[in-house]
Amino acid sequence: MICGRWVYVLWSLSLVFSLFAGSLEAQTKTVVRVGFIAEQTGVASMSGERGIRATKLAERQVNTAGGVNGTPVEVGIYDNNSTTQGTVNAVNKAIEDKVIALSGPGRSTHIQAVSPIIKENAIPALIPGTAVQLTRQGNPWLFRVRPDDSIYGTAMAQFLMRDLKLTKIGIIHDADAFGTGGADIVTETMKKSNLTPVRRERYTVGTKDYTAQLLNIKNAGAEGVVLYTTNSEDAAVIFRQIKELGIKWKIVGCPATTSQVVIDLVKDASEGAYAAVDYFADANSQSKALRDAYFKEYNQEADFLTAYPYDTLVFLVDVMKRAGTTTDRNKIRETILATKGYKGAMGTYSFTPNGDGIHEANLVQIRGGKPQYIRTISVEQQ
Amino acid sequence: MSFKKGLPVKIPFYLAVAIVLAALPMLIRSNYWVGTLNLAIIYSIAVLGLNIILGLTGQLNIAQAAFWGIGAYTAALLNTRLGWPFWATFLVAPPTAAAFGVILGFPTLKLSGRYLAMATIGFGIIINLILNNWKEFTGGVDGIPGITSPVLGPFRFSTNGSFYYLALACLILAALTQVKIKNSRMGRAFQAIKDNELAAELSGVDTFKYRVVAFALCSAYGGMAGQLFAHRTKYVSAETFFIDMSILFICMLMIGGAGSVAGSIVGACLLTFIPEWLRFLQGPWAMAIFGLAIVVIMIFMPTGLAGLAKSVGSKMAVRLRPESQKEPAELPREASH
Amino acid sequence: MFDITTLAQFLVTGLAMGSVYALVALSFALLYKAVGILNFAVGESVMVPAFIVVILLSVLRLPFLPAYLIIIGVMVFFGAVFHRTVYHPLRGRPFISVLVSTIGASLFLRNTSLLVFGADPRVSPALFQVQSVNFFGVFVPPQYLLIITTLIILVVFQYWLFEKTLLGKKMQATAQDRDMARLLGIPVDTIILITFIYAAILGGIAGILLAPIFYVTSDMGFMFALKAFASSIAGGLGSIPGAIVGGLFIGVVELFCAAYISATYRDVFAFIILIAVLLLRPQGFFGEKVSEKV
Repeated sequence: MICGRWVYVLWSLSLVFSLFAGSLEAQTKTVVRVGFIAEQTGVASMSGERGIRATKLAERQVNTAGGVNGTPVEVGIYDNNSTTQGTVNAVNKAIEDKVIALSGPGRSTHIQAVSPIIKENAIPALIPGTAVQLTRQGNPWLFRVRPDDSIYGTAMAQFLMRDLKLTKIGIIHDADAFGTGGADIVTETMKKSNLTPVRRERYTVGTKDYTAQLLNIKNAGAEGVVLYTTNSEDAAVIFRQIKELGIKWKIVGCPATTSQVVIDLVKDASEGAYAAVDYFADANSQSKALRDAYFKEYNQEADFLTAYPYDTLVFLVDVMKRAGTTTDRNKIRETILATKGYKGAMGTYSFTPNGDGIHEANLVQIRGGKPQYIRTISVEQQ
Repeated sequence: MSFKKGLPVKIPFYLAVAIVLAALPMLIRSNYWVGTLNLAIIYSIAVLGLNIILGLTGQLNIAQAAFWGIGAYTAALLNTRLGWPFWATFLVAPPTAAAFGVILGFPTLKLSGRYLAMATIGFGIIINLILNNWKEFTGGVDGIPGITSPVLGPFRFSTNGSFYYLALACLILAALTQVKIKNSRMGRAFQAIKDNELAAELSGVDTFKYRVVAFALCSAYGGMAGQLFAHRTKYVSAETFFIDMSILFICMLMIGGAGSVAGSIVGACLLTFIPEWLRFLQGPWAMAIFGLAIVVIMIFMPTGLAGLAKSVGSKMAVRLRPESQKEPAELPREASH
Repeated sequence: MFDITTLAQFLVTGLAMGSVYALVALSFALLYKAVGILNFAVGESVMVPAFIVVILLSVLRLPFLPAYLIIIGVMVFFGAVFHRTVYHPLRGRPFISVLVSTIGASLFLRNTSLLVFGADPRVSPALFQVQSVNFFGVFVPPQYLLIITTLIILVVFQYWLFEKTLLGKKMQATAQDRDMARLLGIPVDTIILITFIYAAILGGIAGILLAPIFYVTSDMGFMFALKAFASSIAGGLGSIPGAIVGGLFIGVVELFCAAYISATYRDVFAFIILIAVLLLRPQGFFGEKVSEKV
């Protein structure tokens, strides 16, 4: 049937290699392993790189301070290639490597995909994804470390309606869970004030030209626009094209629109735009400390992309100290939920039974190439 | 090599191979690596399909990932929306993918091969965009989670180790079927079309019909691989089934050896495992090397590793068994596998 | 929604995008016409110069004109190397071999540029200071005008080259019948090399024009290649005017469909056109009648 016995030899050899590779994986050191799911490659790698730097910074800081009661902390970077499939692989690999907890995945769509795996493996995951349903689906192992969209979306809509006093509002959002969910919340909030968006335009993440969407919104008579973009890279193109098309709108964006990635790419095209963000450098002493440390180490401005990986690791270490364990996932879980009033760079963490940790956001405006603080909004949790 | 010679030598060899294959999950204790092995098997099936249309019949299909995706989504939808079990989706996914293959192939195969290549590109993009954006039906970018593990009677295949046997069985089925096809009249028609389409047509082969059949078989294999994939990862999302993957399948086939059943499998396994073994070869490094390998192979080794193995193997065979030289001169029947 | 200003805006943007597609399609169609190959790596011949533009202008801060000349030089080299490695050794083989080879080359180039230049989108400095010119309410970024103008100049140049110069006539002869050309004493291999270089230069021009308006990434070439294929088929595979008309057509139609039908499916329209053309009129606008299979 098959000649070339060597083909079989080749194949057997390749499989035998996996044997060895498999046994090489097992390491026993006394460290505490945390898995960080990152966009190291792929379309969002620019954002991902910041997260990696931030979590490494946190790793160094906690280890200098003695780790978890003497045990050093090791952060494993698991690349998801910015894709959902990649995230599934990364999470599986992290679990295989016996990490005690996960930091990330970062995107709501990705979190949605790995939620069953996390639940099945009973591993705590601290997630920054803001799509509301993530913590409402009965997975007791997801802990949200950022305000969810009901806070952002509501804040953004209300700001446009009440502060800027606009009635003709358009929405441009991406097709991701985050973008679509956010757009829905904005629409609902407007409905409560008897308003409907004049136009709602959707795009697929990674689109390079938004002329069609932008002109449609313009022709519908919009005076203000809500930007719900998952990727900073996309937000950058949108800002630039709005300027190129000579459109003058009041823009209120989600946190991604204020990231340093955007500001670096668009220079002054986002000047004057507003946004709802969580991390804000001058908000409290932790955030200031993070900004200073990050700038000192990497010569870059910190933003929300850096804040949540940093905060997550520092918080996890604190949790493990309080729980008195580095191996008992259930105890860690309980300790997280019992946390009230923990002060991090992202704000104050007080966890509700379903796993939401932060309930406030900041409104900022980009002036002089930097987000300038306007005020904080907090929402009472039911 | 025909079965007539060397039979006593072969049985222990095949037995050893069978034992190793059967014991593999126990030998590889790492769950992650068995999982990777499963993925390699799934890719092998898709690449086997590609082998039929490209390796055997000489037509370029740059949309194998789309058929893989159609199989996966068919299984996912039937399983999560209608509660169909594994064996049911197994029976339905390949024909569904094949149907799409015929729909695409029928009009375009009337034209020359260049147009087929272009058409498959367009088709692949369209399918990917529909899967990605038709939120109501396919879940859009969120994909379809919650696909169940295969359950066949009293057997559950929910771990990587148990799934391995299921996947291996499917691979053996797929490979043996293809060997049969190769040695059949259909296979010879494919070969004739690949060698010289005009001559084949003139000698009475209905090239159009056979090309459509080859295309349908290719997409059926892709659909089968997709169905297995869906039940293994328990989640499908459109971004996986993009033209990049089609290109990777082509790489796997060309490096392993276009036209060869074993080559398709070896190519798929190698290109799945090498980036995993050599961590620094992840991502762009691996892909850049694969791309370069393709160019080199096209120039120097168009029959890929399998072709290389075959020529080395026959040279070794000559040297190891010189008595075979004394046999009556027989026109070497190059039964290409 | 259908007022004249909006329509004009769409038309201008569509023509600008279409001009880029046309340039890339031109490079593609040229190689098809000359040597009968489908060059899957045509997008990379746009992406690589775009990155180099960014490096030369942003990092090394060269002035525009020397930078552009350097890039043309680089593309000459690129075209020659491409010819020698990807095409020349395979020149006798069926077109599938070359196509697969160009697929490999595309993969290699895309990932190598990812490794060399990184994954961050790069910005190239704008050629023009003003963001947009306002023509009666239609905002036209000057770069768009430059692109359209360049296309027109190139079309005229190419016509002159092929019809009025000896080199061009030799190129045409080689394309039509290689063996005959060889018999007539035309150095066929050299002509083919020159064709590859010219096609690469076209890609370089497209890259130069695109860098200021797109964020340059290592996968940007890919989509352009696919659109170039669609443009070529729509215009008629092997037809030079067809590639141009096809590109403009797809650029405009794509934008209008995105605006009035569905923006999320924007990329799909080009490929729907591709498939539709293949089904209904495979020769495209200007191609010769594609004979049914013998």
